[in-house]
Amino acid sequence: MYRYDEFDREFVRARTLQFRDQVERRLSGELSEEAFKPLRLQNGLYLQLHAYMLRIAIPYGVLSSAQMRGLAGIARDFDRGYGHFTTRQNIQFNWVRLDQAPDILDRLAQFDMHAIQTSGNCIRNVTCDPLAGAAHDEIEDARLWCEVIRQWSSLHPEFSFLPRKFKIAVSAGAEDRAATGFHDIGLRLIRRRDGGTGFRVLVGGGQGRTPRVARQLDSFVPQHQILSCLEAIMRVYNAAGRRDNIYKARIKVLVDAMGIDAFKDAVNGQWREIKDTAIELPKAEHDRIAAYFAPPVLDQGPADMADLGEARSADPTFDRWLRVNALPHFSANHVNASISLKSAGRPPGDASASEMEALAMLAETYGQGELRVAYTQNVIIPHVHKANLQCFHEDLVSIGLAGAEEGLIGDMIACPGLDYCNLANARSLPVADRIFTRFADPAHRAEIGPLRLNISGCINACGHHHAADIGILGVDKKGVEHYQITVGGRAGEAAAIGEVIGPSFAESEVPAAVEAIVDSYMASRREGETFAGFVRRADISVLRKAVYDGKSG
Amino acid sequence: MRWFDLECHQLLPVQDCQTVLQGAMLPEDICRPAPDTPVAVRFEKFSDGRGFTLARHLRQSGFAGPLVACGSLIPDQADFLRRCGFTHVEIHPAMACRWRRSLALAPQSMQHVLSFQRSRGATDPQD
Repeated sequence: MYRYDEFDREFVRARTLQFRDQVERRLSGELSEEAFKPLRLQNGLYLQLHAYMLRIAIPYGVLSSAQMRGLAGIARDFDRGYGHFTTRQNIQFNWVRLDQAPDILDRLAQFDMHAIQTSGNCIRNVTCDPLAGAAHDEIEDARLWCEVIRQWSSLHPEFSFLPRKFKIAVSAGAEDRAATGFHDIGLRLIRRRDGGTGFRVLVGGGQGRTPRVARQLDSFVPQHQILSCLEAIMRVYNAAGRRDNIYKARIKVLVDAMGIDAFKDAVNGQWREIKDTAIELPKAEHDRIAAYFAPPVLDQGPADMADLGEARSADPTFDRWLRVNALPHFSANHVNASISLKSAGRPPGDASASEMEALAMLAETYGQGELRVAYTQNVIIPHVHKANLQCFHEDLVSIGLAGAEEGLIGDMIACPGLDYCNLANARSLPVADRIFTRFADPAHRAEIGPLRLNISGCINACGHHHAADIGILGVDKKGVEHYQITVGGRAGEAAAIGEVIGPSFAESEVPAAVEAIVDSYMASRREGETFAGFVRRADISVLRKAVYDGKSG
Repeated sequence: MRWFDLECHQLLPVQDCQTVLQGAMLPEDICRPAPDTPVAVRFEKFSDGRGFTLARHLRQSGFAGPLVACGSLIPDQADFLRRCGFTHVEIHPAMACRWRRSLALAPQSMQHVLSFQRSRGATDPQD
């Protein structure tokens, strides 16, 4: 993984000192909250319902075991013993004191982490395929480009006061595991027939109250021109994006207003001026960064799958975990082990300090001392040898993290909702818990098959409900928390926005409604047909009827 | 008010600017200013970053004269202004120490290092 050199360390150290100065000026009253707000936000510090929240970047979702332990230490020393992994490969601490925030940043800098640009109207932490460098289907390691974009966008002098936040995603797999279609800019690494690699550039995707699937800006931008291309897009957006209404300030609204063709022309006009200038990444720097992402040296050992077969038939729980959570790896003898941070009673994405430490240890014992954080709010330990999977699973059972939920109905994405967030209309976490309890049998969850269910506490859609097979959105109905249900959304390939199924539900009615949808699908699905496939084929009215006919009153 | 020089950190008397651009103007809508006369860019709100793009655009289109930022700005933006091509910022003289302090605290430019032709990696990173 990327390792900081003296320059990176000095950069983060200087930024930390700068922030300490800003906090002191705020505490002494020299800075008003209005002047302080954009400064604290650019350092990841939010004012929430009950306390300050600090959001820390996990660039491209990669953590070393040492960094995971460091985060556990922060959870223990500055929070209430928990951390919350978010939908953008960040970790949040929800109970932070303003006067301690600079100390937390100091602590983070000790293990080469920071909170730079995790919020505010700037370019945020870049989303990446969590399996980058370990996937079975990738063209190149996307982390290299995420690191390049991280450096290019860090304290960018021109783009630190944009109309609104700005999110970029990079995916290099045949499967898009970074939801590039729902980002302000999505970059899909592709290889041309002549062997040249570059990016398909998508622009103007996003969720929130105006959900949009990103449109194609360019079918192929050579790698060496990607920074000038990004800079040209940002320049058009910074100059022309709306600033009169924060709900209309994202780039998707500008692309809508201009039309994709006029937007393309504007970008190309800017791009011509700067293409192949000093903005582009020099080859030497490319190679320096790429060297950090050299493939790991894997112990190929004997992959005695026959033994696994015996273990699988002896232990159905292990068998199910293996089928659901062992993700394919580029080496036939290895897997990428997904650890579900989803279970009854656990807010999706939450991990305790001791769980983080246990995971750090597992990554050292069975992997390469490295962990990944997925936008689906799970942790992945890459590069685990198949021969060790039974022991690995036993260790997961002993720490209570052996849930087999990857991609199933239990693998819910949920925002913190009204329990923490001052934007929310409704709570998300209790709804997630009710649904988990309703579908209590793990064998039943597995039988339902791949089904993404996401929950947002308000229309800002932090819980990605638009991009879910079943989406649940908290709404305020005359002062009472209600929930709207959508179906047919998806991230990844052929990204789509879910369609509202009908009138909203009271909190207590949500689990039954979800169950009616799932039962209706299971009763009518064809052999091997996933929920997404079913929704595409069948009329949504089938599901609507199943939900509302059974609903009393 | 005075001009604060973003390179040598000194206060200077305010000079007349024949060209005053509003930060909200689109780069394509501005006429090319005379080469050596000072140009001012006015920021309506410090959180409105359009003036940064305008400055970059002016520099890229060849303007080499003094470029001064005025209006609503905060000292924490000093290094961003400098790196976008501003030479001066119009401030109240009592604020000069804040602007000096902000420049002293600013981290080095990541963009500059990234695009530097000789990679910063003097040794093999795997060492």
